Amino acid sequence: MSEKKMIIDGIECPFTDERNVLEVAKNNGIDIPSLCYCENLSIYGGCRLCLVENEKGVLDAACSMQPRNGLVVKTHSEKVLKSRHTTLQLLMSSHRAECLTCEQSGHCKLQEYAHRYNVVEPRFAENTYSHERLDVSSPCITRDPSKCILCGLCVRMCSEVQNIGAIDFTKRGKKAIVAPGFGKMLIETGCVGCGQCAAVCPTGALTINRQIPEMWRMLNDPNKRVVVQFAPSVRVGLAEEFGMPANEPVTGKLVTALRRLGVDVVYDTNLSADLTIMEESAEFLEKVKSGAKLPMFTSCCPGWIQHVEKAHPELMPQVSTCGSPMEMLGALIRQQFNNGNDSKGDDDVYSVAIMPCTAKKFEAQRPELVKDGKRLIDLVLTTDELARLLKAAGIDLKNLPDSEPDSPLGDYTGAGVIFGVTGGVTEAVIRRVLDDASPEALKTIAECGVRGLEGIKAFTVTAGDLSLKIAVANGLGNADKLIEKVQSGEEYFDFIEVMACPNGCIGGGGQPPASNARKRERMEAIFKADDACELKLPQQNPALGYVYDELLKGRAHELLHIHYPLHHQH
Amino acid sequence: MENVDLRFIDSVLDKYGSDKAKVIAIMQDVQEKYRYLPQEALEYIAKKVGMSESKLYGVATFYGNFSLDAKGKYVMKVCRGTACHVRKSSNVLQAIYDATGTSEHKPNSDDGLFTLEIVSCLGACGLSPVVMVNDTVHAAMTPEKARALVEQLRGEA
Repeated sequence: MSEKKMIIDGIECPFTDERNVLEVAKNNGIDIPSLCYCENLSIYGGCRLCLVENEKGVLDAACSMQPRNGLVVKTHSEKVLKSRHTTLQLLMSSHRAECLTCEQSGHCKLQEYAHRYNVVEPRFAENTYSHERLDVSSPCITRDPSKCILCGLCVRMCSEVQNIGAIDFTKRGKKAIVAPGFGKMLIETGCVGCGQCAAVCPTGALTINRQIPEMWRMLNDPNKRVVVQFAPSVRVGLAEEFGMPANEPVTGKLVTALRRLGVDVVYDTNLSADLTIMEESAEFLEKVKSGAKLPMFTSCCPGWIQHVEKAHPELMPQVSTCGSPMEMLGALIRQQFNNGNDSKGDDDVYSVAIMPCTAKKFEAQRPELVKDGKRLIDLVLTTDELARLLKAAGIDLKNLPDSEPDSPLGDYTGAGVIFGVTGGVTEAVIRRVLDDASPEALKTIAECGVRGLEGIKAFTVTAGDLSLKIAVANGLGNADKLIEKVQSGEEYFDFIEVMACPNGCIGGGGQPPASNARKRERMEAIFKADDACELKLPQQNPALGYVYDELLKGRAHELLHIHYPLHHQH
Repeated sequence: MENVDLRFIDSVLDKYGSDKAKVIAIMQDVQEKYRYLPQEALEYIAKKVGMSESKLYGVATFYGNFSLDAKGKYVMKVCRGTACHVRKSSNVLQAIYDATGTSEHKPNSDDGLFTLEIVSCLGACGLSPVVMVNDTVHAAMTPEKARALVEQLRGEA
């Protein structure tokens, strides 16, 4: 069969199975503007910005047009330009533009297009935007209806990918607004704070609840010691904000940047990821041995935990009681500066976690994350917020030398770093259980079906006389599909890993928004960071002896496990 | 406000097989009983048909015929279409406002008996000016007839 081709702007554009003309154009280097299209969501065709002109001189939306052999379209004819201009002016009339002070300024697609297509005059009075109040109920996300242009990306993300449907189109015509039902606030809905809606929002209608001023205050307070931990995925998302390739981890530069920012102590969450695996595999093997109800679900992801609490409360007893790596390192940091381990104690310690995640902001506030009367984590900043902080401090990540995190909570193995990608926690558990560090054994594990960005993966692992059925889901919609199969008895699993965000933490709501191709590069970067580690098994982490003997001193379960109320229902 | 009878909602859901595609019919049946859509009923329906609350709320608020606000025992629809207008329906409307203690911005009377709605045409222009009370049409209205109608309804309540 000969190659299929269509003509865009006089250029021959080969295509295969692209879902629309917009994708064909993109793959051939032509960027057609669009505000309501996303490669991972259904096609809506509502914003009318991607209109192109066909041979008959008729305008049609490129996002809803099937590519066909010999099709001819123009993307910047006079007719197209005129329509695009008017469409932008209409969109601007229903958008409260406060571009100088808007959170999204510089990242706003409407702003970008208005500039790119030279919309220098507003034409229509800016009078149809919503006057509904700002929704600041969620510790993770802020919703500002006055900036919403009704593209519906968030609606589709929340219902199609996450299967939650916290927000939807409500009312009609001029009064139409994307909102939770019955005038509720986000916090009163099934929202888990994953931040995927904000990641796809083209304007500032849905934004991360940023806490940058708080961080500056602490950095500039001479009476505070700022102790920072950073998650596996931060080292693979941050680089992109500084024009560096996505497929290389920037751990060393990140540590240097944090020190230049004024951070007093830098630790790596990878250490507690190793620790999580030690605790979680012990808990899992104990459950298998004692005949407890399986599958056991992982517990690292705060979005997933909230989803269980809100949508599947009956499953909570099957969720591991292990705290997340962030919680565990938070607990270790408190111990590190207490109990005579540090001359000054931990009263002046301000514990900050840099996370790829918006839901972590909620997790850190939970009452269960208070131990010995103290909050384990004082502040959670996202990768995006860290990038803004560094830029404000004039730190150019690209040109920094590498440095190492502080001892003794900076050591880690490859098992900890792969937490950042879907399947990583599971792979680390398998490494721990099989306890074989030979390259052959590691290769077998890597190829057992645990790796890859598919939404649901299922496979079997044999460990001695145990044959374990394992499933990995990323995205809450996929998790719900899996749960349905387990609850209906259609499938059986011993262990299920769930990460709320598509592709796992590398695609977290706190990361710079990224295309699928970009996320694939981030996954490569995570495995490169794993390759760079000499030690691969969590049990090889040299700091574990110190952690268990000197810091935890028999309090491991008390400090490293979190019992949420629903864990112990009758 | 009345309490929602979940057994009644269940019977409506059964009638339509709890089918997501039939939520409009389900909501119509519920509105027929309560004269509006109580929030509790909608939340229950959303759960039972497997639809998000926000989506069902979106459908309910899209259609002008669904109401999420409680209504009085008598819903009075005063026609302000062209034919009724030229035959002085504005005077009829004002008379009803005065008699029931309602206004343009306060459609419900304090005694919970009356809800006033302005409609654009009831399709009975030959009978203008027209006022509809629940399912009954009252033709060739005058302010006097309107006041008498309100009194009569009050007596029946």
